[in-house]
Amino acid sequence: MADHTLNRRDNLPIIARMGKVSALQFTLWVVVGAVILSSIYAVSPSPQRVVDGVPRLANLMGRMLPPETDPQFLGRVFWRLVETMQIAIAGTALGVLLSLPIGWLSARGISPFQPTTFLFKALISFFRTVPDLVWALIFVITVGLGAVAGTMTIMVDTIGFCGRFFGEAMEDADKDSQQALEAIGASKFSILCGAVIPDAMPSLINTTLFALEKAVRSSVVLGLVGAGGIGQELKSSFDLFQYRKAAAIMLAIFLIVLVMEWVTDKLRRSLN
Amino acid sequence: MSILNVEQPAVGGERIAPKLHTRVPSHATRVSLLSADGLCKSYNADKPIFSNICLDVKEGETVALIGSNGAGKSTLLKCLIGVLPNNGGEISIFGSGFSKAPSAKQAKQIRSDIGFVFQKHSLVARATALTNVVHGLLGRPGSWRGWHHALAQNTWREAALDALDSVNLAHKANERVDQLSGGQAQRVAIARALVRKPKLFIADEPAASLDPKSGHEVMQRFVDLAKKNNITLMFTSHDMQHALQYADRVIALKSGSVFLDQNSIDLTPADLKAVFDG
Ligand SMILES: Nc1ncnc2c1ncn2[C@@H]1O[C@H](COP(=O)(O)OP(=O)(O)OP(=O)(O)O)[C@@H](O)[C@H]1O
Ligand SMILES: [Mg+2]
Repeated sequence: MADHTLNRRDNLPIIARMGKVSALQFTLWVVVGAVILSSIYAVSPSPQRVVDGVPRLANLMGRMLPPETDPQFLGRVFWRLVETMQIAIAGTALGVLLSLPIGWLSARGISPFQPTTFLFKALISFFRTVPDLVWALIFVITVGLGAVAGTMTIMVDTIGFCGRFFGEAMEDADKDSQQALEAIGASKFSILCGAVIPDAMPSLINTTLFALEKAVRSSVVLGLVGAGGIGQELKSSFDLFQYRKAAAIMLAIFLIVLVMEWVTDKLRRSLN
Repeated sequence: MSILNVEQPAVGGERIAPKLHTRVPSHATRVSLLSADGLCKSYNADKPIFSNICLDVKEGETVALIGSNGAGKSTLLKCLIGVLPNNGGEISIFGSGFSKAPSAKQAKQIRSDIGFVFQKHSLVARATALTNVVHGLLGRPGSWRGWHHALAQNTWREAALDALDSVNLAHKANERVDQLSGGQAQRVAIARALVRKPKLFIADEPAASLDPKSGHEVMQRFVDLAKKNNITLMFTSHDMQHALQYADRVIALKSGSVFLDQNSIDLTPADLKAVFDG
């Protein structure tokens, strides 16, 4: 009680000062404002260019419509879409499988090798911060053009995403049950499988579903750099000025991403 | 069905009545299971939590450890079983002695004969009652089979079911722990300790966070099981009635030393009140 009143009185000057802007704060605001304005000036479209772009966009749209409906072409698109899904699913599955041990080794207080957790955290951050198209370029060079490079890309991307959230979910898992199993004499691995994973399970599944969603979206564009899937088809139709084909492919992509998001959303709902 | 099976205790009317089990008046003739001599502990050098603690727990005895918040009860329990290193004195447990801390091998040996029950039940909330009880066997060889009851060999599953049955929860075996009441969960925790077939139960406030009725139910069952299986029981409690009613002996900590160590039959609530005065 006494503490409480004392604290309140001590805080009064701070409260009184709130709402005033210090010199430092003012400088910071000016700097942030300058950065934003100069960026807009440097790379944003000028009104003139936007105005000029409108007729060209209309022209492009005109050449895209109606979308191509040739059955043979649509058949090819269908199989490319199947390949895209396969890349997304295989890449996510492999990535999730690898994220479990990597996430475990990166989790503070859970990993059996505490001093090296930061190394695994760093590895995961590295996987995450390099953009997926860059990974795709690397794998196209190392394993060759095609779906395998795409699968590898999605796998690495998934580790960057799931590794982090799996590790965090494990760190957040209930500590009491872990201590109890430790006192019983269970190994770190038994504690992981008996207490940590069951407790973190909803979060693990959620993360996996998000990863799958993300993988479908990125597997669509991987073909742009030759890593397999529907993107390859999209790129070649743009390259050959076959805009009606491109329109059909874009519609197909839109549909598949929508369906995928609907499915994962349903799954998430049924889990919670 | 089970060797551990005990009848449902008559809770409620029996609360203030004498204990159900027969009291052994003198423990002098029994074998010492756990003893401490001149035990000292401080977390940081300048401020000792307790010093020169001497106590002796006999086989099959039920001992209540009482004292105000921060008196060092939890710390003492952890020191006694070698989970925390002490700063001086000798401890002897199950006939093997150590000072400061047990060797790794000794620690493993000691832990395998102890069943812990923690203040918060410390179960895996999203696992079933049966899986949680099977977890009690995780320290054993081949213990990965204890991760989940579906992986465990039949003998383990049966032992776990027996243990659950002995706390009258066999019918809840396949229910998730987060769907049980606090008292039921605490009984699952007791079953998890029991399935280890321990020589010694260590329970840090097993009835805390339970309502009075469930608290008595849990304590009663605990004590019955301990007596029935000749398991030594040491528990802490803030409920003086629990200490007087369920323990053979009460040890009180106050100002870092043993303030009182007497058979509970010789004690009155007024005696215990002195523990918390001043
Ligand atoms: N890990 C620790 N590091 C430093 N000090 C600690 C630690 N654990 C406990 N203490 C201190 O040791 C003293 C005894 O704590 P302990 O938990 O043993 O008391 P207790 O009798 O179990 O109390 P309660 O009735 O509240 O459970 C307290 O003053 C506490 O602040
Ligand atoms: Mg305590």
